[in-house]
Amino acid sequence: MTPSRFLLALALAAACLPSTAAAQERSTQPRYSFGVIPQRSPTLTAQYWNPILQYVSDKSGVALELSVARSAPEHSDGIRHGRLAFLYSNHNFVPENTVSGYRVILRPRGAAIRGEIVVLAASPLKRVPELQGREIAFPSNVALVAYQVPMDALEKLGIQVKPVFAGNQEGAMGQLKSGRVEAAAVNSQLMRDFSERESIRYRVLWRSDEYLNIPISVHPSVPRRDVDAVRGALQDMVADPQGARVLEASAALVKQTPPYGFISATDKDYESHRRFYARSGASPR
Amino acid sequence: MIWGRLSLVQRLTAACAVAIMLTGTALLYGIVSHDLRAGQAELERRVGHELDAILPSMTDPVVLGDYARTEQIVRAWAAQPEIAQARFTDVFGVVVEANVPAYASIAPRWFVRLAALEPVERKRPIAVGGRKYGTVSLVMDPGPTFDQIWRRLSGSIAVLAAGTFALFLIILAIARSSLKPIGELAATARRFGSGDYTVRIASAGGPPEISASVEAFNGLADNIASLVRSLGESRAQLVVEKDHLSWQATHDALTGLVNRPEFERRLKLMVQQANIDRTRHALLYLDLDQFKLVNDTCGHMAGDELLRQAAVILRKRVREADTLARLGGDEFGVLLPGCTLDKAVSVAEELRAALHGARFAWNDKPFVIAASIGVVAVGDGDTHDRALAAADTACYAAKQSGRNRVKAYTPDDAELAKHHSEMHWVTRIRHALDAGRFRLDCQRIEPISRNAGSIEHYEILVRLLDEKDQTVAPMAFIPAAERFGLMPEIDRMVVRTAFEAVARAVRSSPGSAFPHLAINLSGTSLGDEGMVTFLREQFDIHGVPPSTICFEITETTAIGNLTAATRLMLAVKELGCRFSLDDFGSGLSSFAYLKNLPVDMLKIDGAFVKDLVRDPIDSAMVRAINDIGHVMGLRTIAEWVENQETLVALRAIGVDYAQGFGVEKPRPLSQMLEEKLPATADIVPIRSARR
Repeated sequence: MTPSRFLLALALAAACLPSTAAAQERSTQPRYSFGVIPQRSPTLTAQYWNPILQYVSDKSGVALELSVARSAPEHSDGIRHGRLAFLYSNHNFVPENTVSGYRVILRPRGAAIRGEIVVLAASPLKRVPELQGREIAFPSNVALVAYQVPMDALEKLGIQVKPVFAGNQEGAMGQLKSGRVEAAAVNSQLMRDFSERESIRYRVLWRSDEYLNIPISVHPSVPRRDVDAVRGALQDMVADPQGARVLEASAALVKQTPPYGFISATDKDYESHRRFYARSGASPR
Repeated sequence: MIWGRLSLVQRLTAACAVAIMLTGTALLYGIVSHDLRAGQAELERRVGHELDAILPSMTDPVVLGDYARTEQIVRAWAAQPEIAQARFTDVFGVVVEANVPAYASIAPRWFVRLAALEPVERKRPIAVGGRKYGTVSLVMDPGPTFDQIWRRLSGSIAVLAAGTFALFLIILAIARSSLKPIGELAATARRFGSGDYTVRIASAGGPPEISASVEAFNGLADNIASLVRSLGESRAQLVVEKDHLSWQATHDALTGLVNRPEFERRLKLMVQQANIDRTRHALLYLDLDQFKLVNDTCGHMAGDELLRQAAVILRKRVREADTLARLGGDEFGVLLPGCTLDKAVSVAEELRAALHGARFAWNDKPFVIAASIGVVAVGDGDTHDRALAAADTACYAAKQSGRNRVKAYTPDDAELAKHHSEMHWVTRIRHALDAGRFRLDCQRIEPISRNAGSIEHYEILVRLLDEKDQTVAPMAFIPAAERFGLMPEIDRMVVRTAFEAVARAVRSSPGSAFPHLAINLSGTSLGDEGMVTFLREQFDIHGVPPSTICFEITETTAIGNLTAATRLMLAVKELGCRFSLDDFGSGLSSFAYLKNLPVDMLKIDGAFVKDLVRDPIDSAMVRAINDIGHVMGLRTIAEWVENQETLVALRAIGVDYAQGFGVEKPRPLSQMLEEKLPATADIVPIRSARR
């Protein structure tokens, strides 16, 4: 079997979750894909999420398997086609993706996030208008707080910038750090974690309103029992010393600050996101 | 064995080469072993390093499930040097791998087989966040490592070979230059050994050891050369001395002629030769007639000179192949090989004539040299003894025939046969001694002067009785007895028999005195060292008073053995005996020796006495001898007194005693004793002491 044919088979297996013949062959228990928005490198993403998913699988008895896309559009495409059983993403709020019917079940504890346009502390750029005509790094064109929201604001201010898509959040931050671009649009929480981890100093030129952090959603095809088991395990994780240690360890990888863990949420909590997309008409290009 | 045929240079070179090769091989082995271990370790390290490098790059695609990217990375990694295979196997067993063609090593296959480096394969799992995604494996090809080690080994071998070759050349050069003097040494030693003792090695050169060897050789050569010179000189000296000794052993010192032993040896060879090839040879026996005269009148020096001159004369007339020898005294012998009897006679005649023609003078006193020569043919069937005896006989016959003549010996010659028969006297005398066939006669010696006193004495005369009891005259057997050495035995028999007879007679005639006896002693007995002891024993045994015994010795025998005679005479005189010098005057040299001989009486040669009355010279001679004898305090006796006239004349001259037919004829001793000592009527049987 060639790699390309294998990839196709893997994709089909993921699409047919949890009742695909391939999945049944591998395990008596259904294995659900857990798609994560590509904010960081695939490896760092896997390092962060695999321990959590392993804990949840063990606690809930529902097997979860991390699924990382090569790019945000690919991730978004997977959501649109309902290939992922569970999601840690906000791409499901994009109007084109809503057809797949994902519903929010949990969201991270802690403060809300904002979209920010940042420059390095030493940058001569002091104000947003100075961004006129300049290259700005974005994770992708489907990133809510790091593209949709700031681009919307810039357009309203009449400032034309040249977007440079770096694939994910830390990709855009990396381009800023290296000097490839003079400014980057980022998730405020991720930027703080990144600056901590990479020891860089930055200034915020523009900051959006607060948005809830990225939620965990589930595809409607996943049985309620499994959904409840997964939700319960994730929700109780921070209270369980073992779960808390897993969360702390993962947070430490990315210099994430407390509080950790997840709390129950619903689609209603994210109405603002839906509205933004609907109002701005933003959609992945 | 090859090693045995190698020169020193080749041995050194071969040994060094082997040592270097062994050392080099060991060194290379160590290096290669180390390199192989290091290469293996490096492969291990490299594979770990490569895995460390590949894992981060593969994690993202693996996590993403990006197998296209994974395959790209696997292929890219497999393109790295020394990586033979790169492979990723996911948890489902799906394999993504890339193989590269086998590395084409430049190292030879045998080296690859010997080195036995194995490909190194290492696997490492890809796990992220506790989840295992699969396994990455890399296989390292040892080929490049082989090549690296082989290149290093090749270089080392090349360096070693070059070093070995260079060392080889250096050793060769050093050894050759160092051993060159040894070659010269060997060549010089060979020349030296072949006899060139002057050869030396000029300059040593080479290392100190070689120089020392060369110097040692030169020193040794000097010593040997010196030794050889000394040996040569010593050998030459020895040869000279040996020749001299050999010459002395075979030659007569006086004349330089071959001596008797050598003459007899050559005669034996000649006889053997004649017996083998039947050739005819000849032998001359030569006796100088007047030698005794010269010796007596002029002394030994004159006699010696005569012998020398005779030798010179004879030598000139014999061939080179002939042997001329002095056989003793005045006797010479000549061997004439390949010479007939006639020719030998003519040679002998020539020699006789040459001697006779020569003149010998001593102190202006001339002498005529004459020789009697016996000639004998030596041929098949002879022995050297017989040949010598025949020649002696012939010579004797020549002398008896009147001297100065040549006499050839032929077996049928009547005269020679007669003389030759003398030799048979030896047997007869011996037989007579054993059988007691001798008889003692005696002849009275009468005192005729007032000084002589009244004591008469008798000269004992020996007679031999033949098979028919006929008396054989002394002159018939005495010469033979003298010639063949039987006289001492006869003398002792006479003494013993006479003493026995007179002692018995005296015992048979109590009160009578021992008669005075004169007993002849031959010249041979004078030289008999046991004679004194014998006489002493006889005196003791028979009780005869020594003062009654006077021993007579002839002038000739006394002078011929002067030293021995004087010694014996003095010893016997100590016993109390007296001595009388017999036949005095016949040698004409008597006066010179008379003073030295301890004699008591002089017996004037009968030749002067016999014609005393008619011949004034004889008369004067008798008178002179008598006078001198008296002057010397000696008593004189005249023998051969055949008549009263002579007796009267002797009385007139003053001679003390007279003996001869004119006084009394000889008669048996027994008869005289019976007459003088009447009680003894028995005839005394004569028995040899041997019996």
